[in-house]
Amino acid sequence: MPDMNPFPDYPVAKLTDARPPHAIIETDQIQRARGAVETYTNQWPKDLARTAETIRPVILAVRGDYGSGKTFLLLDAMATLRERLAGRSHTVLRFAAIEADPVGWYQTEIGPRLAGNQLAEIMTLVYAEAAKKVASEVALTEAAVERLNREPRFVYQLINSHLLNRSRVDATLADFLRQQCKIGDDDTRAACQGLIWDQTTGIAQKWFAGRPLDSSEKEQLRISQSIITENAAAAAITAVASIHAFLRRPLGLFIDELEHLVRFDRRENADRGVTWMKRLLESLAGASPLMFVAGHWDAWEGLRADYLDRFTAQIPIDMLKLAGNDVRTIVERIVPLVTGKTPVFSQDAADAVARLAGGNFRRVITLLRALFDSSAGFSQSPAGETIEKLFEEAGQKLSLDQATQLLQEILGQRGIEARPYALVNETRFDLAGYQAGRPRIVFALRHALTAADSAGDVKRFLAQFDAAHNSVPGLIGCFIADGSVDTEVLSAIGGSDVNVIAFDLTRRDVLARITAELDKRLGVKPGAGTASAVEQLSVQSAALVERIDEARRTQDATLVAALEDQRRKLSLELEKASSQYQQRTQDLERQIAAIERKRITEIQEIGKRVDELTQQLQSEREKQVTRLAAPAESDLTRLHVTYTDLMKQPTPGQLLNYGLDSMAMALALFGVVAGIASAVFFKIGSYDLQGSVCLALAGVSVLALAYVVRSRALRFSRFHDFRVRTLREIYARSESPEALISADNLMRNLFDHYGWPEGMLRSRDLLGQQFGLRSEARPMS
Amino acid sequence: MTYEEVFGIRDNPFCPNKPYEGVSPFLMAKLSSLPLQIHKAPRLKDLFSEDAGPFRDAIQDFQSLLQGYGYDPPGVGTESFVFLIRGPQGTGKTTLALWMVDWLASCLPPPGRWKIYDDWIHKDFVSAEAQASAFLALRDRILQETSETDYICVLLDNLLGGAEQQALNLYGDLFEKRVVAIFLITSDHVLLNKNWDNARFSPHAIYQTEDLSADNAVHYIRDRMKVFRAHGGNSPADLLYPFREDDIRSSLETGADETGRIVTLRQLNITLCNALREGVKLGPPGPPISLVQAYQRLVA
Repeated sequence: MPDMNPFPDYPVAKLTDARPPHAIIETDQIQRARGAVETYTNQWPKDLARTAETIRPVILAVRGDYGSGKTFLLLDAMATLRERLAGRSHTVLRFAAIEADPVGWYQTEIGPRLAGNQLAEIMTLVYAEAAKKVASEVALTEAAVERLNREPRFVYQLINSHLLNRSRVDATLADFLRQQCKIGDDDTRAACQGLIWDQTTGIAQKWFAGRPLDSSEKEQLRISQSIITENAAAAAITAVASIHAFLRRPLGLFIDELEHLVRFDRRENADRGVTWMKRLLESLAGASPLMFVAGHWDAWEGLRADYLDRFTAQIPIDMLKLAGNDVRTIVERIVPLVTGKTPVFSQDAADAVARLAGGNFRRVITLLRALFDSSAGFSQSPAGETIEKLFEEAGQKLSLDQATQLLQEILGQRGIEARPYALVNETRFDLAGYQAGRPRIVFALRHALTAADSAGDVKRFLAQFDAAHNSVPGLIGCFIADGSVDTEVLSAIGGSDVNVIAFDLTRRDVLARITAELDKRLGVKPGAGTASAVEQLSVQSAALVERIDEARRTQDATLVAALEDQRRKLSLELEKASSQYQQRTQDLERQIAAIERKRITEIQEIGKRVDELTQQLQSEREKQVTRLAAPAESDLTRLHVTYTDLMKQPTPGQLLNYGLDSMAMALALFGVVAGIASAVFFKIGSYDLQGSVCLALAGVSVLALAYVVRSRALRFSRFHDFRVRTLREIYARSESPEALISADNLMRNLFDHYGWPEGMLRSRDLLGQQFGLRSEARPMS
Repeated sequence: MTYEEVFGIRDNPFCPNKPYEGVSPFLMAKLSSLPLQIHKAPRLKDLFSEDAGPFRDAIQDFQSLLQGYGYDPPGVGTESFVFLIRGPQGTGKTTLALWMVDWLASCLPPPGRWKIYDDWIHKDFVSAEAQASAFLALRDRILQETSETDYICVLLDNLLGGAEQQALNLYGDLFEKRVVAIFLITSDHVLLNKNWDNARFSPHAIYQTEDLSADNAVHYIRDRMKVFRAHGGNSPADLLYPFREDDIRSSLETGADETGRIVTLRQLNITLCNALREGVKLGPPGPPISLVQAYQRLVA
C-alpha cells in the first residue's frame, strides 16, 4: 500500500460558499483577521437586552496574489464572526467585485444579494421599533411594547387590527429612517418603507436589487428612479448598514476581488470605481460595520495614499507568496513525516514548481500532491518536463461544476431527465436522474481536502443514499470524488455488492469510465438481468399487486387467493433480500469508517510531528510554510468524527447503569437486607417464620429487580435505536457537527425527562421542525 | 349573561351584536372599525359623537358655509363645492363626511334627490396612477348616469398623494355640468400638510381630524354609553360605568401638550368593544373596567 499523500488538496474557495469554513492552519494573516473580528465582536455585549455602547467600525484591507488564500481568509473571518456572535442576530453580506463600473457591479452582484428576504425582515424590525416608540408613549398601549420585544412581527397584527395608530407608527418610522439612520435620499427611504408591507415588498426588493422599475412600480413605491447612478447605489448600501447600526445588529461586509473594479477603471482610463469605493468606505464607517476588502496586489498599486486611511487598521493584511526555497522547505519537512525517508528533490525542481505555480500557495500544494504520487513519495527528484506535464494536467482537470454539467449532458443523451439539487425521499443530492418520473440515479460530487474527509464524505453519502434507496429500490448511487481522493475507499465501494458506484475525478480517463459504467447500469431495465435481488423482487411484487387487482375486478376468488398466497411468499423473500442488502450496506459503511479512522489517526500523527518540528525551526517563514502545507483536520472531519462517536453502541455497563435507577437500587438494597436477615435466621439453625419470610422477600425483590432492570434496559435500547436512526437522518441532511451534538443532547434530555416513548415523540417533533424529519408514530404498547 | 344584566346596557355600545333601531345588519357589521354609514341609515346618527374629535366645529363651519341650505323649508342652492377632510387613519374622517352627506341630503326639498357616489369607502388603490385613472372612469359614469337636474354628491375616500390634481380635475369637469359636492378624504402623509393655495380648484373648506385627547375619549364613551343605557342613574359617572373617567384619562394622557395625542378613535373603540365583551363573561355585578388591562388582554 503506498504512503498516504500528505499534501491537502485545497479547493478554489468561493466567497459565496453557503457555509464558510474555518481556515485549517492559523497563520499570522489568519490570526490578524481573527483578531480584527474579535475586536469587533467584543464590542457587542453578551446580554442581548443591554444596549451596546458606541460601536467602532473595523475595516481591513487584504492584499495578495491569486490563490494566496485571500478568499479563504475572508471565509475564515466570516466563520469566526458567526461563531463569536452565536445566539445574536447578525448579518453577513459578501460581494465579489466584477470588471464593471460601480453601477454595473451593484446591479449584477451587490443589489441581488442585498435585496434578499432578510432585508425585508430587518425592515420589519425597524417598523416594530417605531411601533414600540408609539406604544410606549401612552399608558393604554404600553403592554404592546413587551409583546413587540418578544415578537417583532406582531407589529403587523397590531396595525391590521387597529390596535395601534398606523399613521403615527408610519410617521415615526419615517422619522427613524431620516433622523436616526440618516438616510437622506428620498428614494432610498421610500424603498426601505416599501419593504414593510407585502403590497410593495416585491417592488422594493426589485429596486434594491438594482433592477429597473416601470412607471407603475415607481408610482407604487413613490420613488423617482431606479438605481442608475453611483450615488444611488452607494446610498442603498449605506442605508442597509445604517439600519443595522440603528437596530444594534452586527453587520459583516466582505468584499473580494477588488482588482476587477480597479482594472475596469484602468481600461476606461478613469478612477470612478476607486473613488466610489473610497466614498463608500467613508460613509459605511459611520454605520460601524466589520468590513474586509480583499484584492490582488494590482488593486492596491497606484492608489492614492489617502485610500488606506479609510481602513481602520491602516496596515493591510498581506498574504504569502511562495518562492523556490519555500517549496523545498515544504517537501523536505513534510514528506519524511509520511515516508520516513529523506525526499529527493532538487533546488531546480523546487524553483520550477514555484515558477509554474506563480508562487500561488494553492497551486504549489496541488502540484506537490501530483508530484508525490508520480515520484513514489519523492524517491527520485522529478524532472522539469514531468513537473510541467503534471502542472498542465492539473490545469486541465475537470472542476466539480464542469463535471456536474457534463453528467447532465450524459444523462440527457440517454433519455434520462437530469435534475440538479433534487430531493429524493427528503434527502438532497447534487444531481438526480429521473426515468419515467421516477428517480433512477443520484449523484454526490465532493471535493475533499484530506484523505480522511474523502472517506467521511463517502460515509455520509452512503447514509444519504440509504435513506433514498429505502423508498426507491433499484436506485443507483454515484459518488464522484475530487481533491484528496482516497483510493482505498473507492476500492472498497467497487468491491462491495451495494448499488453504489464511485469515481475519481482527478483521473484523466474519468469521463470515459463514468460513461461506460452508466451505460452498463442504466441500460438495464428496472428489475431485469443483473439488477439487484431487492429491485427484482420489488418489480415482481408490484406486478403481482396489479394482477391481484385485475383478478378482484373479474371476481375470480380462487385466482385472488392463489395470487395473495404468492404475494405473501414474495413479501417474505423481499424482506429477507432487503435485510441482506441492509447488512451489506452496513458492512461497507463500517469498512469505510475504519479507513476514515485510520486516515484521521495518520493526519493527527502528522500534525503532531509538524508541531514538534515547527518548534525546532528557527525561521518564522519556514515555520509558516511548513504548517500551511501539512494536512489537518477540517470542519468536515469534525462532522464525520462527531457522527462516528455518537453512533457508538452503548456498552453493557451503560445499559446496566441506566437499568439500575433509584427504584431498582431500593429493591436491590431491600433484597440484600432481606437475604442477610434470612441467612442470619438460618445460621442460627432454627427454621422459623421470620427466616422464611425474609427469604421470600429476598426472592421477590430479586425477581422484581431483574424485571425493572430488564424493562429499563429494553427501553434504553429502543431509545438508542431511535437515536441512532434520527442522528443518521440528521447527518444525511446537515453538515453541522454542532447540530448533531445538540440533537443528541436534546434527545437524551427529553428521554431522561419524559421516558420512553414520550421523550422520543417530543424530540422527533422538535427535531422534525428543524431538520424536516418525518414524525414518528407512537409505538404499540 | 347579557350586557343588561351585567352592566345595565342594552347591547355592546362599541360593537353592537343586534341591529340598532331597525338599521340593516349589513350596515351594523364591524361597527367598531368601520365608519357609521349615516347617509344610508340616519338612525346611526345617534351613535355619532360630535365631541369625539373636532367634529362639532367642523359641522358648524360646514353648515355656515352652506348657509341657506338648512332653512325651513330647506333648500339646495345652485353652487358646487369641494371639501377636503384629512387626518390620521381611524380618526373619524369618513364618518364626518357621511354625516355631512346626510345633512346635505336632508336639505333637498322633495321630489328632488341627491345621487350619491360612495363606492370608494372601503377601497384602497395601489398607486396614485391607478386612482387617477379611476377618477376619469367615475367622471364618465356620473355624466352618463345623471342629468342636469340631478344633485351629485361624490365621496373620494383614501385619496393618495399624487392623485389630488386628478380629483380636483374631476370636480372641474363636473361642476360645469351638474350641481356637485365632492368630499376628498385622505390620510396620506403627503396631503396632510399640503398647501392648496396654488391649486386651480382648491377645496372650499378643509377639515382636519385628530388623534384623541382624553376629553374626546371621555365624551365619546359617555355619549355612546348613554344611547345604550337601559337603566341606572344619569350622573356623568353612572353614564360611563363600567368605565371610569380617571382611568380613561390616565390611560390616554401622554403628559405632553395637545400634540402628544397618540390613540385613535378606532383604536379606542376596538379596545372598549373588547373590554365589554370580556367583562360580560365575568357576570354581575360587573366590576369597573381598566382600559389598560383591557388592552393588555388584547395584545397578550
